[in-house]
Amino acid sequence: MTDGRDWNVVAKASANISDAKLLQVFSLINKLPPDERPHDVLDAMRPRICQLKPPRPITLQRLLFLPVEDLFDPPELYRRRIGRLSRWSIRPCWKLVSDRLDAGLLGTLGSRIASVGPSDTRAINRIGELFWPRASDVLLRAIETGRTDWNAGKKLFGRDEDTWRQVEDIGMILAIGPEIEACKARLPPKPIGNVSQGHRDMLKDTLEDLARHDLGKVKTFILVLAARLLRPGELLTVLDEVRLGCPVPEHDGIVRDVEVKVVSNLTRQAQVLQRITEQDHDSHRATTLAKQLVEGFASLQETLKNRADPEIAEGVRRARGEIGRFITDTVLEAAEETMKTMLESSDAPQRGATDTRQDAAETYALSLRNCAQISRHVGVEREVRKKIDDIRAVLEHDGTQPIGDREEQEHRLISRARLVELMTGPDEAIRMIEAGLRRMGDGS
Amino acid sequence: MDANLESEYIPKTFAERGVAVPFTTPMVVQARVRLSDGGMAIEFTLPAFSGGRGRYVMHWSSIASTVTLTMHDRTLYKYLTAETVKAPPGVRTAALHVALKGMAGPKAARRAREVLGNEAQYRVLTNFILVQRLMEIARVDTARILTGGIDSEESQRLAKKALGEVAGVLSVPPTDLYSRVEVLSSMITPVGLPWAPGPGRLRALVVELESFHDSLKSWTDGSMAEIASLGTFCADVAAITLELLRETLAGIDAQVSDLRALMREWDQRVKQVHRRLARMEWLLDGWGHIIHLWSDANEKGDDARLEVMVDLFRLLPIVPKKEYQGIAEQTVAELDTVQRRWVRPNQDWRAGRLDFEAVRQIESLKARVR
Repeated sequence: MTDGRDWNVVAKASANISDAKLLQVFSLINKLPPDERPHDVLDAMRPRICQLKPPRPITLQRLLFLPVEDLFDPPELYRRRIGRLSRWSIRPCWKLVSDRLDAGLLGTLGSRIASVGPSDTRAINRIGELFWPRASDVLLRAIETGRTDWNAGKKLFGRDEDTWRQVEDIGMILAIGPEIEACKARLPPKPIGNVSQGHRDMLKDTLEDLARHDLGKVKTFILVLAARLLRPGELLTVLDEVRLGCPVPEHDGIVRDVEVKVVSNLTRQAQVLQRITEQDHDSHRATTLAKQLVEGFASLQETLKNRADPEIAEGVRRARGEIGRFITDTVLEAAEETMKTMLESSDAPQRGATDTRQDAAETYALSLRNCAQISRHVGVEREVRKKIDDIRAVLEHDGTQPIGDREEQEHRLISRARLVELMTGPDEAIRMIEAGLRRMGDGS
Repeated sequence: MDANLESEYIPKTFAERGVAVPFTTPMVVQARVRLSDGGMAIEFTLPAFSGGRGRYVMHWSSIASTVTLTMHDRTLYKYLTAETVKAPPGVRTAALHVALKGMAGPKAARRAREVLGNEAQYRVLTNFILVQRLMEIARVDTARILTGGIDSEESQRLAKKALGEVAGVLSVPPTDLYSRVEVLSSMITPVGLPWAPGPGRLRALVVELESFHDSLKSWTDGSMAEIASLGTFCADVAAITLELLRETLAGIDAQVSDLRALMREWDQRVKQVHRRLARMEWLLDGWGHIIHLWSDANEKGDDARLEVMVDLFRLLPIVPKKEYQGIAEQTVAELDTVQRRWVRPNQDWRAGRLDFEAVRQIESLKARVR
């Protein structure tokens, strides 16, 4: 099937097919040569594939972009001037590298990577160390040539300056690919909660080492790693503390530059919360992201305080307002209705259906908890507390309504108490169960 | 916080190690409970919070005042008495009954219902094939006890009658033989008879532990992350445990396979079977959770695998010194230093807050319990 129309059909169908089928299609597409893969279809599949996380074989193309992957955004969410990369830039970069790098070398690397399992980090990085610096040379040289010969450059990258910037950034990241991947292997997996002292020391050593060779590499390194951190401010503190061997104003300039990009990226994410909810019908994912963003902003507090930069402070304020609005207008607005619908169907006669619905109601209760945890930071504490109180009252009333036999009634009471536990904590839930059991004539 | 610190990493005996309790609060998940005050009270041991060195020994009241516990855990605690915590099966039964109520969510409740139902059926099957084998030994026709299915009243009446004939051949008083068959059926159900059509719970868990060992070892061999050294140690401990399990299981199978001798020299031989079964329960205690933790992470990918290393190490059921002397205290202490570098500060007990995402993750593992 190579007809574009056929791929369009697959792209449309990918939203409705089962998980197993989707994984099957994904695996088939991945068997195609990189330049024959239907990228529109892959983009359409990506949100679900991200959730299913199938084990993906490491291809040469995937290996190339490993050090860069944390900076990629889907094209529809990509924004300029904040140091991020669009997935669209993969294609021109890959084309350049595969066209210009020695075919023999590519063949050798390709066959070596094909024999390595996707979790064999050690072997993958060894092959990457041979590949990334060479690929970096190809990309940076192409950019350089393009700057001296505008027509040749236009042919390669088009007129858009941002595409040039992205290719150059990828080239610079690949130049320090071995350092980035070595650090990633020693750090906890992303999103990294807090950075321990041992890891701070390791990061400082790497930064000082990079600074000795090229100060520009420090900025690139920090931008990539900051994307893996839940609290990027901690990395900025490390950068603040490290000796880069340059004058203080230059050091401060680097920190500020990175800071602006980090804040802009957090702000950009705050603006897409609404879209995530609408697109995935998943308020839990969106509220979890909102919680992470609030954490991220809080981590920047310390470095921002030192600098009192009005542009950055305004960005943070705007993003917080955006998150607050998302909570009140999207999550809270539909809360009672959503919970009611879920509870009605959770009492369905088929046990399987009941479990699924209760599960969905619990996930929703967790979203409300996420909102409660960040409400103070985004100025909607009163609204969230009131909504949760209202829902808790409904659950408490509902949990003690006489239905069926004793076992059924206890089941309903406990299932409602679990929702209360998720929203407000176990003390309230235990109190609710004890009161319910007393009403049923059993204080045990 | 009222807690004593146990500085030795490797317990001397199983009783000192305690029984793993499948709590759902992340800070106390798989805490170990054991008897204290001369068997009159119970206490818990758990890995030091925030990745500190050693293990805390705490009473429930101290835990409850330090950590916010889920309603599941508060309910489960009520079932833990000096009697139930003596050995792993008591704690397991208590945990299944609490899960059955729905305290750990709908999936865990459904799984608990299935497990208890399957276990009752497997006990009937074990009893049936035990009687059948005894009849074969005594050359009594086995076809007649099959009338109306293995758990029908008629079938049981016929089996009892046939056992009377078997008793004569084995020179064992009939009433003794009936009770011995009943006792052995109940006792052996968790492992299952070696010739049963399907394995018992513990025998199946041994197979799962073998797969766990192979999968973890193959991953750690290829990983360059410092944290993978914890996984290597976990795989080594799994290998030691498997060796002891195989030896113990072979002993049980040999005793049970010689049914004639077992029934005749009952008092002496059944004690050996019982001792070995108890050893199997203890050796496997806590591994179910570890196996599910790993298989869950293994399905998710490399980041999840790295992340789970600290938990595998912290919750690892280390073989007590009395059972195996080859694990060095020093090795564990050094690895403990590695895990302290990796432990996530957001697991800080001082925060005292419940991370419900983590609770639900633990509950999802309960939905796979055996």
